[in-house]
Amino acid sequence: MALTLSQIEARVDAAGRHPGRAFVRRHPLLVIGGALLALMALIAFLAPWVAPYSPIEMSVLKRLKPPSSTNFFGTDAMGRDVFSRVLWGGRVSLGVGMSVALLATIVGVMMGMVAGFSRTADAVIMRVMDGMMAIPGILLAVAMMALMRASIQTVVIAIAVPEIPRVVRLVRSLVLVIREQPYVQAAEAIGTRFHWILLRHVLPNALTPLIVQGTFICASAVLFEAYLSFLGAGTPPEIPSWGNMMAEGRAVVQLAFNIILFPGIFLGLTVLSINLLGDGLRDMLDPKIARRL
Amino acid sequence: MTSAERDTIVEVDDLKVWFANRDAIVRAVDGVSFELLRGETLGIVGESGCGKSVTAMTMLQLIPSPPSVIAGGTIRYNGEDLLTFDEERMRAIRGNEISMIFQDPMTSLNPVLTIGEQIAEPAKLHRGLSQSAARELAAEMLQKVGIPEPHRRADEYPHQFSGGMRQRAMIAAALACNPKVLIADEPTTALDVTIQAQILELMLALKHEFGTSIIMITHDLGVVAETCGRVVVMYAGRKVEEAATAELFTAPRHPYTLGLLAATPRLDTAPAIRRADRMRLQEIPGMVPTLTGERVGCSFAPRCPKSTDICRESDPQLEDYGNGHLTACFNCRSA
Repeated sequence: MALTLSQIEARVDAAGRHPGRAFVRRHPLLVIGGALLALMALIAFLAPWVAPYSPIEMSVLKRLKPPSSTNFFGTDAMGRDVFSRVLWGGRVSLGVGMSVALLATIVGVMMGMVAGFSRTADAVIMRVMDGMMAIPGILLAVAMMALMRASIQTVVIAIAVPEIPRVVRLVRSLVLVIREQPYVQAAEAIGTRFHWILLRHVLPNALTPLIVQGTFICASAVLFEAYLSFLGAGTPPEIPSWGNMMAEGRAVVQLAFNIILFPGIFLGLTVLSINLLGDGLRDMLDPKIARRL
Repeated sequence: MTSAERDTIVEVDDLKVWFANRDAIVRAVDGVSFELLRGETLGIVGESGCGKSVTAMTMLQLIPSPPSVIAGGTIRYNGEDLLTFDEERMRAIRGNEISMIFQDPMTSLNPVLTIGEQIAEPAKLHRGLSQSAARELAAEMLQKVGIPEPHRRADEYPHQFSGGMRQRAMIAAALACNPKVLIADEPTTALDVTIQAQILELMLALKHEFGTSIIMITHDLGVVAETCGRVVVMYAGRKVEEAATAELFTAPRHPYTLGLLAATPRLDTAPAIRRADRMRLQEIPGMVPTLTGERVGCSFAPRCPKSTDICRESDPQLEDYGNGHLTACFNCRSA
């Protein structure tokens, strides 16, 4: 439909008066994903104050109760309040997701930059990365968990390691393009030191795809943490996480479906929100790469 | 005359830069010599692949090695051979004593840094300028290259500048440390003709203000005529002719130079004016030879209308025809 001049003017006007509204209209995914994730993060952060019960307090008398006004999401096989556990579990999921995204990105950026600039290192690093990519991530993570003592930190490491090759590949390919850009040569021509070129010229130009990649790693890490916990190779059972709640609820699923349902809903919503945020960021930061990733 | 009497700032002598790949050696620059006097603008012209840019980049040692090998020659800057400098000493030269303007202003500026940051960068690197002094300098340089509202503009990003403005910003960055020598590698090639004239005028004005010597690398004889005092014509990695600009345009000697001039459109002989006897723009037949292997005879011989047997058998040396007019051609003597 063609717009008349006055209609266009009205829109420009509206955008000028309500910049927030214009932003929402232009990036709906970003706003929805961001808001949902912020809500999840808030809930997880406020768990100690909001949760009505302790997440690990057992009660023989309250086993397998259905949702009620005292236990919103019911209770599990050991009489623990599912609602409180779901709130506390959010801390593990989001904490692990963000730590993994950060760790994998930082390590991946360092290795990718080295690979992008040194031919010798490139051959070694990329062959190792190819090898790692050949192993399914979940197997690699389970194997690593078997070698280390179960704790949140080891879960983060075990999930981050299989994600690193993807970051390395991305960074390497970006570096190979950026280092040939005339502005890098121009920086050399004014006597800039090598490490300064990396930090000031190469890294900032690689940042946009890295941020987008980081959000997707975060989403997949949240899921991975749940897989590992569900398999019993993840977060130790004394710490409530969505994954191990579902693993424990699996045995009694015919009696109390709610034990699996609620953590599952929260897990799904969290992963969805991060993915929406990632898509939105990608569209906003660089429309050109939107089709490439 | 010795170089001291002539006040030479850069003296390139018999420079040879070769590129080694798996099966051949490419002699990109093969024995080039020239001098740059203080305060002078020297043009280096030639078609693509003749070694102009490699010569310029070698002066700042910006060509990665391998694959490049400096097979011989010296580049003396203020009497010292730059080719013997280590990376640390070279860094102190780059951007500070000798700086460079690149061809494409659209891609030579980093899109994620503000214009001001990029202009002040060399001064920060070499002089240790503070953040606020750097901002001041950037604005001052922008003002000098004729960009209005320099303080506001310094905080903008390259995408907010037009091509001509970006090239002005590049010039500002190149001159920020007040270098002694400015190497301009096709500074106007990527610009509109009207902007080209403005940029050249700006470079000349700043040259007088800063006392910079300029090496103008171009394939555009119009740019040379406009700006340079002396011209070096390069072909296939060698200098084939050198003369004062006026002399080169009025009395060219080397057949290659003649060809280049004939291939330049001129307004006074434009087809529109003389429709009756249409002047066809001349081209130089053939292509630049590949620069691999040993050179036998004159490299221009296969394309030269005047070539004789001797051209194909032995290598012509540069000969002085007076007034510093040097030409490497057997057939010029008779001409």
